[in-house]
This record gives sequence, C-alpha cells and structure tokens, in this order.
Amino acid sequence: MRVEYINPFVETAFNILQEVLGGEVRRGDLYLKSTSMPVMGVAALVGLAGDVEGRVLFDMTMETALNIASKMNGERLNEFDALAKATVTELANLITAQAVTKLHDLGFRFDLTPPALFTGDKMEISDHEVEALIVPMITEQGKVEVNVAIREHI
Amino acid sequence: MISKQDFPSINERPPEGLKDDGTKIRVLVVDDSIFVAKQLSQILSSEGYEIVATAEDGKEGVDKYKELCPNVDLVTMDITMPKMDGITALEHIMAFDKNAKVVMVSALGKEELVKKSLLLGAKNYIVKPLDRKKVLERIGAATK
Amino acid sequence: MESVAEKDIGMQTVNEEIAEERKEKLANIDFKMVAFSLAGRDYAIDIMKVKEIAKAGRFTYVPNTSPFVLGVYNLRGEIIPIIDLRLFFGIKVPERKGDEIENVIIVGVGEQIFGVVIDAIDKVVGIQKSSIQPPHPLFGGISIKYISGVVESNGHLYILLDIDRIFGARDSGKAEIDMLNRQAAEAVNDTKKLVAEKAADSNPQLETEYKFLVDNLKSLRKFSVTNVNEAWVRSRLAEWTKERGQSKIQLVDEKDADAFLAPFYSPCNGVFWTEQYAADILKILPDNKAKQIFVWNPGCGKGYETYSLACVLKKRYPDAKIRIYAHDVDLLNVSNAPLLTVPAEAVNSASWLKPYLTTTSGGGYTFNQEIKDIIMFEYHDCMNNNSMQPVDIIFARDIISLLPEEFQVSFMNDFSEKLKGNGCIFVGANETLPDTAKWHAKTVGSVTIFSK
Repeated sequence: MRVEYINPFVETAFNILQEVLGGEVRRGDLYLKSTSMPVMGVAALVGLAGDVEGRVLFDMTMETALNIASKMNGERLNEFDALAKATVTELANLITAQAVTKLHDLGFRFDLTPPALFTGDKMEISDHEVEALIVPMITEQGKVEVNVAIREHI
Repeated sequence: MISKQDFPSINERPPEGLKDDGTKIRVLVVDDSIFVAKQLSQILSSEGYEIVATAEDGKEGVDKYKELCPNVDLVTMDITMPKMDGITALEHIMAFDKNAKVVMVSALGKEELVKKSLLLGAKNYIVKPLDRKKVLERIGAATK
Repeated sequence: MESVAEKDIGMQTVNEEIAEERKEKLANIDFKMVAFSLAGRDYAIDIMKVKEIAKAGRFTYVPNTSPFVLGVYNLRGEIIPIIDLRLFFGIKVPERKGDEIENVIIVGVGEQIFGVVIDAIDKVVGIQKSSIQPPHPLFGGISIKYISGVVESNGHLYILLDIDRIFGARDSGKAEIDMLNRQAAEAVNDTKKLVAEKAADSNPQLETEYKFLVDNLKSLRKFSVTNVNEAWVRSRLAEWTKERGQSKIQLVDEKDADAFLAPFYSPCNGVFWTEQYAADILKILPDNKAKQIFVWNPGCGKGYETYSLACVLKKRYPDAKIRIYAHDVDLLNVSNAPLLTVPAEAVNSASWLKPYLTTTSGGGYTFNQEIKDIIMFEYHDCMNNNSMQPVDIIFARDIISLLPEEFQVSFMNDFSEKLKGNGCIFVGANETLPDTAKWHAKTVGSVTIFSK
C-alpha cells in the first residue's frame, strides 16, 4: 500500500475512536496480510473508489460491537439489533470518511460507497489476491482491527 | 455521546427550536443511518425542534419534502446514501422550492463538497461526528 | 455417467416439498441458487442457469487449451467442455490422477452448455432477491467482475457467481502462470539435486561444513542459499576458510554472519550511487522509445537506490514519463523514503546528483518534485500478490537471496509474467537468474542484466 495512504487511516482511526468512545485508545503494530482473513464476528465494510479501488474493513467480536454501540448510544444495548448495527456501521463510515477527506487534502481523489455490515460466526474474507494493511486499535470496549486493501488504478 | 451535562439549564435562554411566535421549528431528517437520525432527533428535540419525518435515502427525502411542504421548515441532509445521494437530493429540493432551508450533515469534509452544497443552495454544512453545540449553532443559524 | 439431477435437487419427498413451499411463501423466497464449495469457501450459482448436477470422471483431454479446461465429456450424446473453476480462479489443486470421479455442475450460458468441476455440492438455497448485496471490491480476490453479489443465509455467506461473465470472457493469464510455476519448481529441484550430489562427491567433510553454514546464514540473517547465489557462497567459503582457518569456519552469531556476507552486497548498497556506478548502469540500459517507462523496484529499503535509479533513468530516457514502483516490507524505512534528504557530504561525493536536487529551507538538499513524482513508495510484502501492469525494468538487487527458498522460484516466475517482452532485469552483483532457458544474460563492464 502506498505509504502516503497509511497515516491518514491510522490517524483518523485513532482520533475518531477517541472522540466517539471517549476512553483510552491504543494502537497496535501495523502489519500486512494476504491470506484469507477470518472475521472476528462483526465486519463493517466501506468501499473505496476513485484514483484507487479497494475497501476498508472494520473487524471486531460481537462483544466489542455491542460495547461500542452501547457507548455511542449512551445506553446499554444487549442485542445486536437494527440500532446497534446502524451505530457500528456509522463508526466505520466516520473513520473512512475522515480518512478520505484527509487524503483529498493531500491530493488523492478517493470516494467512498455506503457501508455494509456483516455478522456471522465462521465468516472468512477470501482475498487471496489482495494485500491488506492491518491497523489494530485497542479500545476500552475491545479490539477493532482496521483492515485496508487498496489498489491503484493504472 | 449525549450525556446529562449536555442538557442546558432550561431557565437560561429560550430553546433554539422555537420560532418567534412560539411554534416549533419543523425538521425533516434525511439519513440512511438510524443511529444518526436518532442522534440528530435527540439533539434537536431537546432544544424544542419538532422532527416531523425521517427519510432513509435521497429519493425518499425529496418525496417527503414535496409531500410535507409547506409544513416543514428545515431539512438535514446526509450525503452518502444509497439510491440517491444528498447532493442530488439537495438539487431536487431546491428546484422544487427555492426557499427551502437545507443543512448538509456528513462525515465527508472535503472542501469541494462544502462549496458545491453551498453553491447549490444549502444553508450550512455540519461535519460528523456530531457535537451538540455545533449542531445547534449551525442549524440555528440556518433558520434565522 | 449417472445423472443425479433429480435426486439431488428434488431430494425431498412430495410431502416435504409441499411443506417447503408453504414455508417459502411465508419467507418470500424469490430467488434460488445452487450452493457449492470451492477450496473451502461457499459459492452459489443462480438455479436458472443450472441444467443439472452430475458426477463424472475420465474427461477426454483436448490439447492447446488453457489448463483450466480439463477436457470434454460426452453427456448423453452431447459433447460439452469441462472447466475446473479452482484452476480458473488460480486456487491450488492437488494433481489429478485422471480416473477420479468429480462433482460437476452442468450450466447453460446462451446456447452453450458447460460442465463446471467444483469440490462438493452443498444444496439449493432459497433467498430473497432483495437481500443480495452488491459485490464490494472486497472480493477482488477472484476478480469482482465474476461476482454478481454476496448474500447471507442461515449463517453462511455465499458468493454469487456471475456465470455469464465467467464463460463469456475467459481470462487465461492466471492459470498459465500456475502451470509455469510448477514446471519451474521441478526444474530447479532437479538441478539442485545434481549440484549437491557433485559437491558431496568431492569432499564429504567440506559438504557437512557447507550445510551448517547454509543453515546458519538462513537462521541468522534470513539469507537463503540457492542456485541464485550458490556460486558466490561457495567461492566466499573458500576465501573465508583461508581467512579464519579450517576449525573456525562456522558462523557463531549475527556479527559473524554479517562479516561473511559483507562482500555479497552490490556496489553502493544503502547509499546514493557514486558517479562511476551511475555511469555503469546508464551504459547498460537498453534503448527504449516508449512514451511511458515502468519500473518495479522490490526491496527498495530506505530509498537510496530508488532515488539514484530515478536520476539515472531521467538522464537515459529524458523524453519518457517514468514511473517507479518501490516496495519494501520494512514499514519504518519505506515510510520515511518519500522524505529522504541528501546531506551536504553526500552531495559532494555524489555530485552527479546536483541537477536533480533542490535546496530546503533548512539549508539541506532534497530531490526536486520531478524526481519525487517518478517514485511511488509502497509498504508491501513481495511475497504477497501485487497487481502491477507489465514493466520495462525490474530492479531487484540483493533481494532474491533474502527470500525463503520456496518463494524464490515463484518470485522469479513473477518476473516473467510482469516483464514486457523487451524488458530487462537487474539482480544483485553476486546473484544470478539460474534458469538459462528463460533468461539471457548480458554483461557490460561490471554490470549484468537479464532479458527474455
């Protein structure tokens, strides 16, 4: 992944998570992955288009998803219902949109597609031809992995 | 995100959401996220605004506006939505009613989008994540 | 061959079918698909495209077709081509013995009937058409153009394939490479065995010492000895033995390994190129009248090599638009590469760089915007796939030796795939591309390049 794209994603993930969740947020070491990636239970996905094609995937366990949704709504949600799903989806949207805005300011023309949410126990993303950058973010609500796969258009 | 200390003391000043004649300002919220719609509705209702309807995509937003007009005073419009995006919906609404008051609410903060919306007739532009103070300020300014 | 179409799809009794229909009416099922598995993942095809499901073996091989066309089959008098979807999508498949019975889905696309071999048939799944989500670039793995959508049902995520696209436009590239990889790996293994046998014959004790050394190089410095660098390693060992004495050959720690490997690295490694070296590279670069020149520079490290190369290329091909894709797996190094500055001492020793530099506000030097625009630095592990277009030059000095043995072969095959017909490859000064059938070497002065 182009090095200029990395910081915007790392910074906005950190800033938004801190702003929206309010507690302590820590960033784990970045690494690259290129095998099929098992999803922890809840995956929010935002597509990228424009100068590049690709996607940003936010991966977390169901427990973390419920904790985050609860925190953002200011009340305890015990079921992963429509509201909880919309909340997690919105978090994905906020981070990706701010990263895209930052990249735009740097001269890169990115756009995003409306997000999608997937839940499931044994889901895998079969991306064996795409390399992804993994940014692990550890929050008080649990770990969220930001998984970015971007390919330049020729 | 919304906590008790965000609620202002009622006696300090009149709520933003009331017109001079005391009636509530009527708002149409257009956003594909029920979470954002809920957030906005909570912030605005707590200040006296009345949420008359919500819409989940641009097309529904335009249709609802046409239906409700003239019984709607303000529209909040998300940009990234399926079926019809917020910018296109804004165009349609302004074409239908040149006096429409639309405030864009988006996670995207690109300068060109802000400029484009304002040129198309939007009264203001709010960048998410939503901050209660900012929302009330910008929406308040739009309805004056 | 036995057609189990009726059995599989309508495997229920009449009563069950009626109950099923009632349930479906309640669930609003308006789309059915045949689900199957391929390399452990769940896929599905619109049932309207599926003619039947069958078990078959012994396809008649047809020469001069892509490897994923297994052959043809006589289906009740009609000759139909049989395709292996796994090979088509580039998924590794264990060697066919030729007699096995396979699971085949017979599909119809327009007038033509095809047989598609897959791992195992799952079942027919009914869903609501509206719940099909569009394919995100997420599934770029098997090329988004072959996917019509993604849908969830009963806890399973199915990738819905666009069977019309798959058989409308056949992309044979990937399958060809897999075949190439297999053949090359075999050839390399055979050669290695011969070399090892020859060496073992001459001096068994030396051989054991050699084997230990090879292991240590691998574990201490991730340096894999193969026919890419074996010639150099053996001659270096002879030298080393003289230097250290017969009893002290073995590498004890990283320091030892570094001392052994010190003469391996190409000239100007980790620094800006000297005027002489830059001139040598310039001399050997072939003519190229193209308007755009693309370069792949895996293992670019901190960027010294990349910037030096960019300047040399600008000089050699002044009218072309040059693009260098510089990759490295060390995040810290490659992230700082776009900001690389040139300290005053370096400007003095590599004064040929001056025309390509500008001064910074702090009084130092950095490369001018024209040179910076040439290079795209990427954080990338070259052991993963990358999707670059064909390149004119591959500049891969001292990197092949640092890759694991198994990967070196497929990496070099990737060179074949990615290099344009008239392109050239630079490897390390003490490395070589061993497959002489594929690569032709040309040496000018101290530099060698390889071409097809």
